[in-house]
Amino acid sequence: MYISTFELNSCGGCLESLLDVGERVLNYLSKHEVSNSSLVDASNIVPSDVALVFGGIADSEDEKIAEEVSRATRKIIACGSCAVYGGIPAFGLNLRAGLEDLPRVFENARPLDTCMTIEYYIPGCPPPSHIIFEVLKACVEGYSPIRFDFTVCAECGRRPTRKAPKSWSCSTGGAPDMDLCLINHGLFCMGPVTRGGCHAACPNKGAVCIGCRGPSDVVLSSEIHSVYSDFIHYLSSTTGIRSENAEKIMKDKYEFLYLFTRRDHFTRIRPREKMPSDFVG
Amino acid sequence: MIELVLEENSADRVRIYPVTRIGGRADIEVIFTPSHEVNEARFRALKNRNFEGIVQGIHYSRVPLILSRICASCGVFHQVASCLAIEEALGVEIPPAASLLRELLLFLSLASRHLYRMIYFDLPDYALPMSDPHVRNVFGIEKIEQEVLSKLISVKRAFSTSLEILCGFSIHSGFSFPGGVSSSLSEEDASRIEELLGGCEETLKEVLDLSEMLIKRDSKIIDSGRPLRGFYMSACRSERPSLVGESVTINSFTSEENLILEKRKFISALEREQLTWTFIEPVTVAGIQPVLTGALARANFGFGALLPWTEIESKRFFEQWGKPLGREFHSFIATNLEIIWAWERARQILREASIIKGETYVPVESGKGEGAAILETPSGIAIHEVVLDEKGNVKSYMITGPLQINHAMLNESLTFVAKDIVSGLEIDDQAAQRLKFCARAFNPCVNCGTH
Repeated sequence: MYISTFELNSCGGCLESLLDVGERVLNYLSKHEVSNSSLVDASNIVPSDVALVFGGIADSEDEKIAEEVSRATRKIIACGSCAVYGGIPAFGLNLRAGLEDLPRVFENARPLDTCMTIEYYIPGCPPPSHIIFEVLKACVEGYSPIRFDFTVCAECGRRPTRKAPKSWSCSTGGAPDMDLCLINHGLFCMGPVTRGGCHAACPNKGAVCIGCRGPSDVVLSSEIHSVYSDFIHYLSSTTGIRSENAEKIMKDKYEFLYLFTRRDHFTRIRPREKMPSDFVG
Repeated sequence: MIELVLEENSADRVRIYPVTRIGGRADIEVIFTPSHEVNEARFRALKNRNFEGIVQGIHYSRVPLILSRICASCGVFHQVASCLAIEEALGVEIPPAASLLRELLLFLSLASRHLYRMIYFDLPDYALPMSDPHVRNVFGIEKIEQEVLSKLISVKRAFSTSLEILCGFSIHSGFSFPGGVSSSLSEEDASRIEELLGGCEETLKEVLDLSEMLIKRDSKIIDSGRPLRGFYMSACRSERPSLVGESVTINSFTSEENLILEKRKFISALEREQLTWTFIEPVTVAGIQPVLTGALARANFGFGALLPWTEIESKRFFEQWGKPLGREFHSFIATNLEIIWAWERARQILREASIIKGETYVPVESGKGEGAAILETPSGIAIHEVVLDEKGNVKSYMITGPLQINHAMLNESLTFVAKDIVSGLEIDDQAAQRLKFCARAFNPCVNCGTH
């Protein structure tokens, strides 16, 4: 099998996360043939059986590469929230004028499936190493990877109390009691609406979940759900406050919920169409 | 791909694309005179990130987490720099234990990122210098030097696991936030990290020997590089390199000249330039040019007697290669030295009693203010400047990345190498590899440079 990795508008974190698996991943890739990667000196895009593509499409060069990858690859895995949703760069790019022979930068970065057919999606910023490796193996060997249909809370060691916090804080950390749910500490943790699989690494270390793995299956399951409405619901049920009060608290914090996915209409349309078979990560 | 570009009314040029094994996307352009002699070679960043624009209007509490996404390798450094700038803007002083935990985070990250770069980016050039470019990569090394690679990966794993114990994730964690850090370090976790680091001491010694052997084996590599001219600089504390800087020291490669600038003075001395052929906006310091920042620059200051192993190794390298280390390929040695520096300093921090028991954060109140921070990232100095409005939302944010500072020196070196090895409009694969090799020696992180 020929395997490739491509970095479009990527920070390099997804590739680094994959390589963090260590020798196992190198042995695996060596057993196959790595036809394209930023780690090897291949300058032309050659056909591959499986390609892991990191990053969204942010400029004309990304678009050109994406089109070539799409033509030359049998199965494409969109790896990382930038590839799946456009990620943080979807908020807007720097359109500098008067540049010579440089790629034309688009107004916003967009997800990969706006210009290619995706076999599997692995959201996360970056996705955990073991998930990328497992999905890659599944794609190469032709079996179905594990589907992470639970939320971050399912793997979190903290427990909710249904008690309202004394005050709310926009801080992303600062919780003295390591057993108590971060929402009960008055912090806006997105664990209840976010896809799990990351071992709740951030909340377990006292930092709020900022939703980098994107909406959970429940949020994506029907039109009546959205990240915002579901979060209001969980905020209310975790702390015992009325949902209209929860809504007031969240009124000017809308952007906290959509750092990686921009808006519901943005996150909804594509992933939901492909549910439930291919949204594995 | 080596592409000849011939255009009417414009100089002939050859484009070498892409420059592989670096962070981000770039090419090298060699520009010729009408008589087909090399006029100049230049490194072009082909990615534009705009994180400064993205954080406009965003509440300060989310800013460090967003900015950590500029770059995977230096993300944690941007995150901490952003926290420091915001804390200065809001007049926040974090508890001593939080400062120590952040320092531990930075040193573990420094070693982890240097090892990543060494294994996947640099080692192929040094271990397989004469091999076909298509096998000159980590997979090529795996085929012939599996044991060496295993050892390097095991050391990298020790640092990554230590980071996971400390903050959950080794990449883009939420550990550092304005006001402190998100969790304390238990005694048990401190012992686990200590055990992991202690366990790789022997392997680290072997890694150091290996690097030295590789450099000595092919001294042609060192000799073919241009002796660097100009200046090198580092954030310093008591004249020694420090990851967090209250002042910056600038020394000359060729004379005894030196200049110490306190943080604010240094920042006000930065001058930006816009070029039309690259997304990088080069920066000069007080008109001084060219200036080098990064591992090689830091190593040239020496790490001091408080870190005995690092000091011994530094002295040994200075005796062998001269002080200051003054060729671009010495950066490979400097990277190794910094892995030892990070290892030794991380273990010192772990032994400090206050790291276990102290408070880890203070509450922060929103408000307006201005702040700035200087931080050393693996590839050099990064500067973050922030202005917050009354609600604590970002009014303006400015980042300066290491590649902006190194830009002039990198291009001087590329031009030197191109003039030396290219004749006529033909650039063969070997010459193209040599130019890429030269660029990699500057650890050019395009993502940080174009932020």
